[in-house]
Amino acid sequence: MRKTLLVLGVLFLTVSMSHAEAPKFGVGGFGGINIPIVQDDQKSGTVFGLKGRLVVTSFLVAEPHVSFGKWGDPDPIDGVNLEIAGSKITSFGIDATLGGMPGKKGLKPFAFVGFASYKVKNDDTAYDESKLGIAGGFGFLIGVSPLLDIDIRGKAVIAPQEEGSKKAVWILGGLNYYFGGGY
Amino acid sequence: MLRQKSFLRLLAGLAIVSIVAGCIVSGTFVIVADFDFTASGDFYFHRVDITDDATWQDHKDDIDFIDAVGAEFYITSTEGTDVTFNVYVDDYTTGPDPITVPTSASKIITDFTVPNGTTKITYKQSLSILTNLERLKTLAKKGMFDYYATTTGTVGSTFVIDSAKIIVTISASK
Repeated sequence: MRKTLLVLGVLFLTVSMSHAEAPKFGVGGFGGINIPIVQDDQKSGTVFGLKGRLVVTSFLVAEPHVSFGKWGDPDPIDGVNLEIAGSKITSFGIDATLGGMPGKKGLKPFAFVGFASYKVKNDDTAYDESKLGIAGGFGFLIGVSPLLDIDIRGKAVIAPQEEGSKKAVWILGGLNYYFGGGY
Repeated sequence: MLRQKSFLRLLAGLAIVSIVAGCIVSGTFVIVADFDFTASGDFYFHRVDITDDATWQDHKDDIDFIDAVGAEFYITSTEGTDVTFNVYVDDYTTGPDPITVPTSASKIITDFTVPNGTTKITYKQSLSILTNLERLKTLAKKGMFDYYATTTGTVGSTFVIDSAKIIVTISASK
């Protein structure tokens, strides 16, 4: 965790120092629906989090992020009400976003892939696994001003487990604010 | 730069396709099986077999791990005092029903107290009182195992297990 934060910090400083003219970095908050994929013991829940946006090249943005999610309590199965809470899924990692550059107004589509450490935990069943997983998806930004974007995206998440994986689709909305850039 | 862009687009596309494909071939499934007892005195025995369950049949060759194992019991006790309930599991056997708990069995419920009246042990409650989970999950992954219970009650008249279910959550992928 400490090593990851250090790497992200260095990346953040390098990018921000080497591109002082345009808005090259920003922060964002997001939240949305957390839909489990083929998981009988979970229902849809919520997810929210924070991210940074760091311009790496003219078409690539790095997005370090942290998120906190929870799936919903399961429905009764074959007449048995499980009465357990949905699992929590927390993650931190980085996505590489192709498109969706800051500093412009209007509609800005993008695609992204990334990796993160995903922790799936359920207090009732004592289930607890953390592993490095991958994610990807599509979305679009609506540039309200050169410094402010509305961020809408769908993110497919694979969180590997002991063997196999837990999967989910996150439908997210959020805001990104950029710093500097002469605006 | 164009080459870089194309490569990244390809990478993004491949990652998304692999995620979507992965979603289709793996998942977490819950199996619920009814569970009844052969009782003799203060001793209960049952051969648990969930292998004929349709969900088990669909995924039996692709089980990655057992997420959780629990149970649901409805018990009626008309004993004058609290009844103490112990449960054990062991490898599946064939042949005549045993009349004692074998030494190789693992105790998964220890001295659970059942008061006079009707008691429901929910799935959630069972998760909090089960022990030796690793052995239980190993046995559950085989789909068949032997179940033993002992009580201080008098079976069939003053202490009755009205119904019971075993609930096994499996993760499977192809």
